[in-house]
Amino acid sequence: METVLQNLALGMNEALTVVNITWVFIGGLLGTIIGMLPGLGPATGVAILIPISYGMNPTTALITMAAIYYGAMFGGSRASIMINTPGDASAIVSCFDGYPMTKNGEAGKALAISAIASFIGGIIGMIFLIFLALPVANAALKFGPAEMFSLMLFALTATVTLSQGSMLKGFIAMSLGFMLSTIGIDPLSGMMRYTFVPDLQEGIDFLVAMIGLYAVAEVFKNYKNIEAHFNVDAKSIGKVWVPWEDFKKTIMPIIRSSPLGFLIGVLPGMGGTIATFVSYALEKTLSKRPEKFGKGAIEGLAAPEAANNASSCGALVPLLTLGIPGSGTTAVMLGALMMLGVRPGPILFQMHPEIAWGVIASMLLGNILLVLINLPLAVPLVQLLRVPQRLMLPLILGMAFMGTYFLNYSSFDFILVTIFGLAGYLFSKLEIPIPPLVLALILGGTTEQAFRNAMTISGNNLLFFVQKPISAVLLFLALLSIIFSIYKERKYARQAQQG
Amino acid sequence: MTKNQISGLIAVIIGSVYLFMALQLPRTTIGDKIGPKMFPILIGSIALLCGALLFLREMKIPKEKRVAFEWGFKAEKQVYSKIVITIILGIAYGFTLRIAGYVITTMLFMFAVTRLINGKHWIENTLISLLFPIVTYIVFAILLGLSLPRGWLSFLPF
Repeated sequence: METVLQNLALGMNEALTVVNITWVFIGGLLGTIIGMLPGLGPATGVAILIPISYGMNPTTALITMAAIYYGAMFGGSRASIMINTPGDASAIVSCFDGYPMTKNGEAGKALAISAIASFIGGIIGMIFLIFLALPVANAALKFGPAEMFSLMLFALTATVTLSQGSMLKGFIAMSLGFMLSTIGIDPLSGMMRYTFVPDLQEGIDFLVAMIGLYAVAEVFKNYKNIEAHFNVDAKSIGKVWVPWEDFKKTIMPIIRSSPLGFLIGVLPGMGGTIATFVSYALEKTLSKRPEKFGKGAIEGLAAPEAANNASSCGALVPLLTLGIPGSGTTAVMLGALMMLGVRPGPILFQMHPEIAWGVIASMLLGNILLVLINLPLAVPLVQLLRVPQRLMLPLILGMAFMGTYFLNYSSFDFILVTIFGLAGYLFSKLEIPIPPLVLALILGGTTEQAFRNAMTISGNNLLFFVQKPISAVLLFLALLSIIFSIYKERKYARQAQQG
Repeated sequence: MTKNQISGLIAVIIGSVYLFMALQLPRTTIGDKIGPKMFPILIGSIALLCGALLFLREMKIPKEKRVAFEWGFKAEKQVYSKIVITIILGIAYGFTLRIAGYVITTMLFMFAVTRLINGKHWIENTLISLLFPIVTYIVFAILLGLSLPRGWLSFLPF
């Protein structure tokens, strides 16, 4: 307990500077706006905002990235509530009861409870994160190459099997990501691999890949509905506040959903989407008035909102303590940090506790700031939903290309970013998932090195990975998730045949 | 062909090319024992295997039940032509940036892109293509101190 408080004090000391507080505010606000705009997910948002972190010191950069990330979680549900169009997948559930509330003339109440539930979920998630971070980081410090390899294999397998979609396609995406990661000079032997042109000697910058796969591809996808625009009636929103008798109904759902969301967030590949669906289903089962769900039940909106923000705190546990991102958005964050020379992982807590704890402390502050932004500014902010796609898309493209240039000042990257944009578009048409590719690309180098180091230590003995207990457990879990996924797909196939 | 068959086929093609090239890599044991060849061979095999499985699994579905994948080149001609133009514009942007400088190239790029996406709303297009490069230049080059090429405008004092 005492060390936790000491660390938190260290973090507060680091976070509470004028510069950092300003960036928490700016990042949170930008994140809210980006999370809110339909078709612009948090991964895209972080990807196109990467340039603002250049020239910052690592702590400020991490604080800003995190603020954009949870800001997007706050904003994600605004569009669900007002126009029944989720900003990203984790805001889908917020449509179920949020939009009916708007139709019942309770838009103000819905916006208020979503901000308050997000805030409480975020704070509960933060508390778990504070207590869990150090033990996990300390345990991971003892990991050798065998454990690291198995851990990354488990994280990747879980991302493939736990996320929606076909498992084989997930593994295909993963192997494509690994392939891309082997391009360039092999750090262990100095040999060139797959360098067709001299520009590829340094390897493919994963941020170029991510800007292409997320931001550019997102624009391409939206070319289909360029004319889309939404009407938001600001006058009908009413007062953005929740009366006490309504708030009472949401207390227990929020308290139940937050730890649940956090736990789901920690697991790779699960993230906000599953957290929101599970918490909604749970509340519906437990509710005394399940028939109200889907017709504007306030607890049906509060529960997933709390779960979503708690899960985004949970996702930071593997990212900060192990250096392993569990989702597209956290992968983009990791990429941006590595670019600045910060490598999250157990060593970060040892060597630079002020960075690790600084960002954690800033998140406490950020959550308070965000609820303060989101309650009084809810009405002016939702006006932004009126900006039509045909004006948004050019701006996203402009930011994406500018960001690409900032990465390496290389013209060749513009070719890569457009290729990745096209690939992302085709992948979405063929329903091949993007996150496994991105995770494999970013973890590929370390995975290969861990594998080769472990093989060298053991004298080319593959059994080495099973002889180490932690490594064996992780491999077993990876295998289990594959078996579970095969079982799930068989069941669906059988149901589809019968139905 | 169905979505899954096309995906499987892509994986098989990329996987076999990758695997073939991995096998061509010279065997070396500088640095570590297993060398830079083993890992690519593994990955290539996974892609090949998963792709083949995905392709063959679809063959089990009776032919009349398979849903052929529609590329939509005809129905979505507008979308595809916009994508192609965006790619050309983007690459042209990247290669002229250093010659003409950030502000001028970005103005031209944004003007072309807004014309492509926003159509003939000339006033909006002009405003966006003037404001975007100027605002981003002020924020990134002047306030955040990042280096952006000034190109033809390098005679200006800022």
